[in-house]
Parts: sequence; C-alpha cells; structure tokens
Amino acid sequence: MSELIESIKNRFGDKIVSVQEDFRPRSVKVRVGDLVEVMTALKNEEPFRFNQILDIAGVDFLNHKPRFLVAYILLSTVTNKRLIVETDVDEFEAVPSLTGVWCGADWFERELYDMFGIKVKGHPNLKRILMSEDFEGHPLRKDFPVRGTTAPEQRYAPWDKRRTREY
Amino acid sequence: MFTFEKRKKDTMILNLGPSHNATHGTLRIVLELDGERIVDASLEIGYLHRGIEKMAEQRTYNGFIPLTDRMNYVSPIMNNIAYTLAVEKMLGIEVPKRGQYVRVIMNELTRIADHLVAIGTNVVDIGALTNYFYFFKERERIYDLIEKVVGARLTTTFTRVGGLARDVSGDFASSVRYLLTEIPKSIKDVDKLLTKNRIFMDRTVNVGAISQERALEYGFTGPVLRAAGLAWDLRKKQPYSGYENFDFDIPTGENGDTYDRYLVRMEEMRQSLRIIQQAIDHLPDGPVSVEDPHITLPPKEEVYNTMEGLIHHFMLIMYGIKAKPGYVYFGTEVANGELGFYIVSDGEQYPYRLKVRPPCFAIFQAFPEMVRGLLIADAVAILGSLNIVAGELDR
Repeated sequence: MSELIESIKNRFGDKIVSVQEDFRPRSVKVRVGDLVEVMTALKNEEPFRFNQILDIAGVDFLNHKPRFLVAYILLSTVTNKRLIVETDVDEFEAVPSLTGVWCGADWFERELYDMFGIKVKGHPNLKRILMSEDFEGHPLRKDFPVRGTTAPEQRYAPWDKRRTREY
Repeated sequence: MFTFEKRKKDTMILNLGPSHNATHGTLRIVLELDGERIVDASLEIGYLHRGIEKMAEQRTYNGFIPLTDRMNYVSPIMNNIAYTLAVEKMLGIEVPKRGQYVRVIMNELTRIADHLVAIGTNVVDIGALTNYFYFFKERERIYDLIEKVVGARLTTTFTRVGGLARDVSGDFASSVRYLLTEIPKSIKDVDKLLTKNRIFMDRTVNVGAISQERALEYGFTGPVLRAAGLAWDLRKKQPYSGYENFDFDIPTGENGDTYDRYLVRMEEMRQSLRIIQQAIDHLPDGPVSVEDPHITLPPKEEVYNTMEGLIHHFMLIMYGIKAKPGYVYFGTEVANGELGFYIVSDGEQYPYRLKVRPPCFAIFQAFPEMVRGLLIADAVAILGSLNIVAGELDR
C-alpha cells in the first residue's frame, strides 16, 4: 500500500469505502454524504494538500445500482501527487457542490449536470453549459441514442422571447 | 455572475461574440458595462460542441485519434500525443526510444507553433500587426515540416497507439535543423519590437492579473499558471515520453498579468528550441513503434507474405486493441496547460467512457474575475493572452 493511501486511511478511517491501487492515479471511494468533508480535509490538511481540482468525470453504468460513478481528479502541486476520489450516486440523487472548496469546480459540475443529469446540490448557477438550455435529455448517458436528431428544427418565437418547437 | 435579472439600472449590455474577431472561435461573452468600464461578465460556451466524448464510446482506441485533431486545432499533434500516451499508460507499454524522440521533436515544434499563434493573434487584437507576419512566417515553415512528416497540415493524426504511423524520412533531421536556425530570428525580431515597447506595456502590464492562489483554486495549468509565479511544468515534474533526458528551464512570471503571459510564452519557445536541439542531436536509430501484434499493425511485407502477419492485421483492423477493465487518467503538458484523458475500459475494444480534460475549460471560467473593473479593450487583450481555443473548450 502506498504512503498516500495509508495516510488517507489513517486520517479518514471508515469514511473510505474502498481503495483502488492497481490503476494510476490511485483512487479512493467515499460516500456522497462524506464528500465535502473529505475533500476539504484533502485540500487543506498537511500530508495531502491537493490544491487543484483538475476534472470531474461522470461514468454511467446503466442497469447497475447505483447508476453513476463520479470521479474527482485531484492534483497537488505541493507534494506532486495525484489522486482520484470516487463516489457512487444513483439516478435521482444529488452530489454536493465543491465550489466552496475549489471555486474551479464550478464549470466542471455544470458539465456533469449537463451531460449526465446528476444534480449538484448547493451549486450557485446550475445550468447547462455545453448543450443549449432547451435541450432535452443528457447526452452522455448510455441510454441516450448515438444517432438521430433529438431536436427538430427550432425557431425564435418573438412573443415569449425564446426558441421554441411550436411555431 | 451576471444575469439579466440582477442587472443594475443604468448599465449597458454588450455582446462579444459568438462570432467576433477577437474571440478566435465561437464563444459568447456578455459584458455589463458602466460607460466603458466592465462591471461584470457572463460567459456562454458550447457553440462548437460536437460530442467528441460520446463519439469516443463508439470508436476503437486508434479510431479516436483523428477526433483529437479537432480539439485544439492550433496544435493538433500535441493532442494526438497526449491521447496515445494515456492509452499506452493504460496498456502498460512504452514506445521505443526513437519513437519517443520523434514525438518530443514534433511536440515541441507544435508547442512553438501554438505559442506563435497565441502571441501573434494577441498582439493583433491589441493593434500591432507586424509581429503577426513575423510569427506566421515561421508557423508556415513549421507546418511545411508537419506536412512533410505527416501528409497533412491540420488534421495530422500523427501517432498510433504504441508509436507512430510511420517513421520520419531521411531529410527530417536537416529540415528540423533548418528550422532551428530560422525560428530564433523571428523570436528575436518580435522580442525587439514588443518586449520593451511602451505602448504594448501600457496595454498589458497589470491587465488581467491573477494571484497564484486564485489561479490554483481555479485549476489553472500551463503558461497562465507559470505567469502567476509557480514553476509547475509536467514535463519536469512528472516526466513522460523521455522528457527527463532533456535539459531545459521552466520560465515563470511574477504578477500573472497579460504581459507576464507574453514573456513566459516567449521564453518557452526558446526552451522548446533547446529541447529540439538536444533531441535532434541524439536522435537514436531503431523502430518507432512497439512490435506487439496486438497493438501495432505488422509491416506490409509480413501481411502479404506470411499467414501470421495477415491474421494479426485482420484481427487488429476488425477488433481493435483491447484494454483490461479499469481506468486511467494521464495528463500531459500541452501549450495551454494540462491536457488530460480519463479513460474507463470495460475490456472491450471501445473505451467505456472517455473524458477529456481541456486546459482552456478551467482557465476560461476565471475570465469574469479577470476583467471586472477594466475596459473593453483590456478584455480583448486578456482573452487573447489566455489562448482560448473553442474546439478544445467545447469538444
């Protein structure tokens, strides 16, 4: 077991659900409820000091329960280490927002919501970011079709100042 | 964050984009103005979203490489290399020495090309046109070399998983050496024109400054973070593809403003030239790809003349490379910062999930904080200095 994983296990105890050491960077899995507390400690406390959140990636395991895995990819420029913190979240659950820990998590959480439909609790501005606001569905879910158009031709409706399909 | 509902009474709304000369791509900035001062800004991206991550789930590991060209179209070769390095990390293979060195040379040439575009267009937006021509002359030479090596200028698809598509030709070294004599002249010319230029300094010093702490919070990487004073370069800190063999420095700035970003990019080009010089001097012989029939295609003579060669070729074309179930995240230092690929495999020939971590995405979200209280013209200067590439931002 690597030094980093050992110190994380000592610090957080049974908050760490599982550890994955076969792949790089190593990852730990926490429960959704413990996420903010663990992340705050990982950012601020001494042996960890993960001062950057590089990415938030969702993975859709369709027909599994819980359905989604959310991976937070962290980097420490102090100790020159990487870590992935994972959490499982089901279809109608929400993950807590990490914008209070790293303000850079803002857009990544919006992208997570946009692409997977995972709600982010406590996010200051949870809107779609890559797709248009009236887009239906969440494209990176596995049950979203790869081919075909979901959006028929849309036009600008001057009376209610938005794009609409009913014209 | 600005919204129309929260707008103050006597402010004006200005739309910068989605199609605007200064945005270098389709991104929309809504500025809230008090006179010519920016009170707040709001960003809208996604105009160039093509669903690359969704497409990746339907493609083999090699089949995704052409799509990486279309992400950062200013430096496509760096994307190719970053992606293949991530897959190679997942498969646990290492490219032979010659392949690594050729990759490093092309990588650094593309980094120079990217910085040439970044600085050139940035100063055009500010109002200095001459430097643009000095730089684009050199960029043209680099693209000529890329065309000679790869066969295309922008849609390079330079690498394959396990190495390169083909070895470089015999006059590669002399072409690179010619570039090594020509590029420094242009850098010197622009250095003389800009670095101590009174007008340029007035437009850029203390414009869009961001502190190191805020930069780290936002997830900045690359020249923008280095301009804020932190010597963080993955080529040095977490070496890959043989970068540990080369001697180079990490330039840093002090204030993290537009001027420092310009200085860091200029110095990085000189350091890249140093790396290319060392690589071309010690370019080893041998194969450029790993010789594993499950990963790289066998040579054509074997395909036509031996049974095994034909079978390997068929299996690889029809079924592709299979990775063990698991995940990998691998980040490399591209011209804008850290380009990372998070790949989840379920043991099939397609990645189960592929997430791109574009450097621009983290950098651009700090734009409202940078422009608050400045003039519209400053916003244009800052946007150029961040080198936002819409193809990479929206994927």
